[in-house]
Parts: sequence; C-alpha cells; structure tokens
Amino acid sequence: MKPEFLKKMGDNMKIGYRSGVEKPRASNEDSIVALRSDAIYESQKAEAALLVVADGVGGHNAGKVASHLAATQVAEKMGRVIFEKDREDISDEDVVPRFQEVIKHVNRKIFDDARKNSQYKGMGTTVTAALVWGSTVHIGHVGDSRAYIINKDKIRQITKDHSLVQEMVDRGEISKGEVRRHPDRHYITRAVGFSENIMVDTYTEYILGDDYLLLCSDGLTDVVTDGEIHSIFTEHDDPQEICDTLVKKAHRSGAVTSVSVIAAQFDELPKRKNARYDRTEIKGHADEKTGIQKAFTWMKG
Amino acid sequence: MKIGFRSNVGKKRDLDEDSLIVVRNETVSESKREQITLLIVADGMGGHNAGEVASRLATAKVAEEVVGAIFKENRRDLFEKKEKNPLKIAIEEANSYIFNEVKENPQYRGMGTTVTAAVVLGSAVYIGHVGDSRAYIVNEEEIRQVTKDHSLVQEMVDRGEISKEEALVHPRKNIITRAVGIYQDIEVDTSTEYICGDDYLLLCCDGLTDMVRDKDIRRIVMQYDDPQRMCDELVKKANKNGGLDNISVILAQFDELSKRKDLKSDKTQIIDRDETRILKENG
Repeated sequence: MKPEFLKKMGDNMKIGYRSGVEKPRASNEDSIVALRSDAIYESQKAEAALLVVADGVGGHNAGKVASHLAATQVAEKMGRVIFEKDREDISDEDVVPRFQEVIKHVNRKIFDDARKNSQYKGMGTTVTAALVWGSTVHIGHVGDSRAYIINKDKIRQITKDHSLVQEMVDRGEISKGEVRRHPDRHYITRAVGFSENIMVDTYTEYILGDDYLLLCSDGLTDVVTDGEIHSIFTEHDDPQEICDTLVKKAHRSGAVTSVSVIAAQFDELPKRKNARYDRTEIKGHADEKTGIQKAFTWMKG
Repeated sequence: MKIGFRSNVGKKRDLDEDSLIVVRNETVSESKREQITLLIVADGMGGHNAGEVASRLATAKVAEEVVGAIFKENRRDLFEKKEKNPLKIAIEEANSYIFNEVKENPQYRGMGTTVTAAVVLGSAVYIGHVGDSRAYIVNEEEIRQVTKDHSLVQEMVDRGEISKEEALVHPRKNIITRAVGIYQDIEVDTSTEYICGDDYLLLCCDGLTDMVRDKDIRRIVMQYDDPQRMCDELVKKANKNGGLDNISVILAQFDELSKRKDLKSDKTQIIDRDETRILKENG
C-alpha cells in the first residue's frame, strides 16, 4: 500500500448536506442521498461514497415523487457498486456503463409511472450522482443540477447543464454572464422520466485530499455565482458549515425554488503536495452515441 | 451519532484477517430527513491467507444486500419482519457467495468468517449474527452482551458443564460451531434492541473479548468521551494484555437520542427489552 494512504484511523471523509426551501410552506421538490462507507480490510482503510441530487419537475406533488424515486433507485443500484468494488466484482471501466444503465432504467420506470397515473403526468427529475471510491469519482448526469470540484485555487464545473440557455451559450448567442438573468433559464432540455429513451452524460474525475466535491440543484446556482460559491469554500473548512452557508446565501440572494447541496471532503486522500501522481484532470465523455436528441424543452418548477 | 472504529493486527499474528465496515446513509426527501446506519465486524479464518478474503467478501456482500434492501423497500418496519428479515437474507447471501467462491477456487478451501451486523434506525438496533464476534450495549450501569457466541465453550456453558469463568480460559475456547461460508445452509440469529442516548453500541471480534474482560471494556468506554478514542484505547488494552489475535472494534454513540433519565416514560423501552429477551429465550 502506498505510504500516503497510511493515515491514522478516524481521519475520515466528511460529508455535509442541506436541502430546503425558504418559506416553510413552500414545497421542496428536491431529494438528496448521501451514502458513505468506511471499511477496513486487512488493516487498510477503504472509503467510498454515493451522493445524489435530484430536482423534480411536475405539478401536484409529481415533482417530489419523481425526485424521490430517482434518488432512491439510483442509490439502491449504484450503492451496490461500492461493495461490488470492495469485492473486486466490478472493474473501474464497468462503472460508467453501469451508471448509464441504471439512470436509463430509472428513466423508464418514471416514464411508465407517469403514463399509468394521470396525476403524475409530465413528471420528471434531474439526476446528478457521484460515486466516489478512493480518489476516483464517477458521475452520472441528466438535467441542470451540477457537480463541481473545488479547492483553494479554483472551482470547476464538471457537468454540463442540459438547458436551453446552455445551448444558447454553446451556439454563441448569449454569454455565460447573461445566463443567470435570462428569462428562459429554467427550461431544461433533458430530464429523467420525460421521454421513453434518454441520454446520460458520464464523467470520470480524480480528486485529492485538498479537493471538495459539490453537488447542487439549480436553486443554488441560479442565484449564487461560481465565484461566490468558491469564496464560501475558501472561508470555511467543515462541509456541513459550507452547506449551511451556501443555502443561507442562496435564500438571502432570493432563491425561488428549493436549494439542495451536498459537499464532501476527502481527508484520507493525500494532499496535492504529497501526492506521488496527480491524475486530477478532466476526463469527460458525454454519451453522444445514443441518438439524436429530441428538441424537447419544458419549464421546471 | 458518532462512530469510532479500528482494526489492528495484534501482537502475535502476521496478518489482519478481520474486516469491518461502517455505512451511513442520510436521505432528504420532501425536506424529511432519514438516517440509517449499518455496522459490521467479521473475523475470518482459513489457511493460506484465505481468512481475510472470507471476512472481506462477507462484509461487502452483507453491506451490499442491506443497502440494496433499504433503498428498494424504503419503509421503516423493514427490519421488524421475522420472515424475510433483510439482515438474515444478507448473511445467507454472503454465505452462499463465499461457499461458491470456495468451490471455484480450491486454494480458498476451508475459509469462513464470523459476521456480526447491526442496523441502527432511530432508537432501534437490529442485529444479525453468526459466530463468536459480539455486540454489546454499554452504559453507566452495565455492559450487556446482546449476541450469543456460536462456540463450543458457550454450548458447554449452556449445558452447565463449565462455568462462564472457566469458558474464558478453556483451551478450546476458539472453536466456533457456526460460521459464514462453510456449509451450503446457515442459521442466522436475529434480535432487536432499543437504545437511549446514554447507551453505547459496541461490535467486536474475539480478539478483544479474549484479551479484555467485559467489566474492563465498560470501564474504558466510560472513561472517554469520543468513540474513536474509546476504540483506540480498547485496542491498546487488548495488545497490552497479549494481543494474541487480530482486534476489531466499532463503537457508536447516540448523542441525538434522549437520555434514559430524561425520558418521560421509560416503560416502552423496558417492555420492549423484556419482550426481546423472552423471544430470544424461547428460540
């Protein structure tokens, strides 16, 4: 085992989370799951986590139903992968296809439920999920919730929003700065449960002990800039404190929808300056092969 | 809820054949928060370095099945079921998994493991157990072993052939009568306990309990505030007393639950506890 992994026990990853709406009677359509596993095999620590943020869409509680279903089903099926990896029953290369398979399966389930029950008509949800195993982070993503990797030096958005405004940015029609004030900023172009088939974006990233992983719904990023998020991470150390501060900031900045955040810190990993090798570069591969995306758009919230 | 854990090779062995896992899940849906925790210790055995394989496979398999069941069924009474108890099913799955692994890999022949697993949901602790690792509930007043060893000496104690004190120093005290992975079928003990904010839940393998007496365990737990520190001190004590085997401990503290003295009525707890004991005595 590499010496940098031989840290004292009890020096664990820390996970903070918060999901809420400002007014107590307002409806929270978000669901989050933070599952973590700390194991010791042959006196060596093995740490892993599965984090999910889902932001539901659809009237009459249907958004809540969709986000809850998606978050728990992704957690059930991807949570198993943590322990399959502990048994060496699944290789790193197979995790990404599994993510695709699982989110596509959940998509089909929500789509079928919505078709069978008229009160759930039109329900859907974003899903941004991260499986962290050692220093590897696998991400599965549909919609406009986001995953970021943040350290003292920079903030990097890993996922790409499936939104109308993001497409306008890609086509050069508007600038990134205009996105947050654009009237159409709540239209998303992909959601889980909305159509029979779905494209899932996946990413594989590597992190070190100085990095934080942030998953959040657009309730945060609608009203708080990346720069502001970054300064909150530099001002606080504890992930729970970071989450509380982020949500407070979003509410003070006029968040209209529910705000959900999960922040994770991986203290047991070597810090960048001590690391033997640093693989922390973007290795993204969007799922472009599954077909031409239908020009669906619809209003969230 | 604070959890400490430690696994140590001990003083006499070359290899740590124990495995342990702490799985914590928090779900927020419709602003309702749900917390569930799974703790497992497994003490592996078998020649040619297979013991650590058995304990790792069992730990990971039980964790996988329990976590899968929690999200799939998503109901609070999931672990109340006598039939199809997810902990029982998970340990049975782990048993078949290891049994098949041995069939395919002859070098693993004879490997097996103890498994003691606890799911904490609110003030309820659901336990699944095979072998001679143990679960204890510890507080100011007592230390109470809530699992029963599946061991030769325990059977001798039950038949009245030897006393509990004699069992501690009996030459065949390390022979167990049930283990995960040895036979095609397995019998899993399940039980339910209820805890208060002043209780600690301890899971450990015999590397601790062979070296440190119950009353000394309680004294060490009561002496410190932080569960991680308690684990560190328990391991230190076991090593000081000889450290003949690998030592694994998990200790959970339930700060968020009401303390026993603050409970408006402790009745439900006592009744529940008695019922649990009676159930256990009956079968």
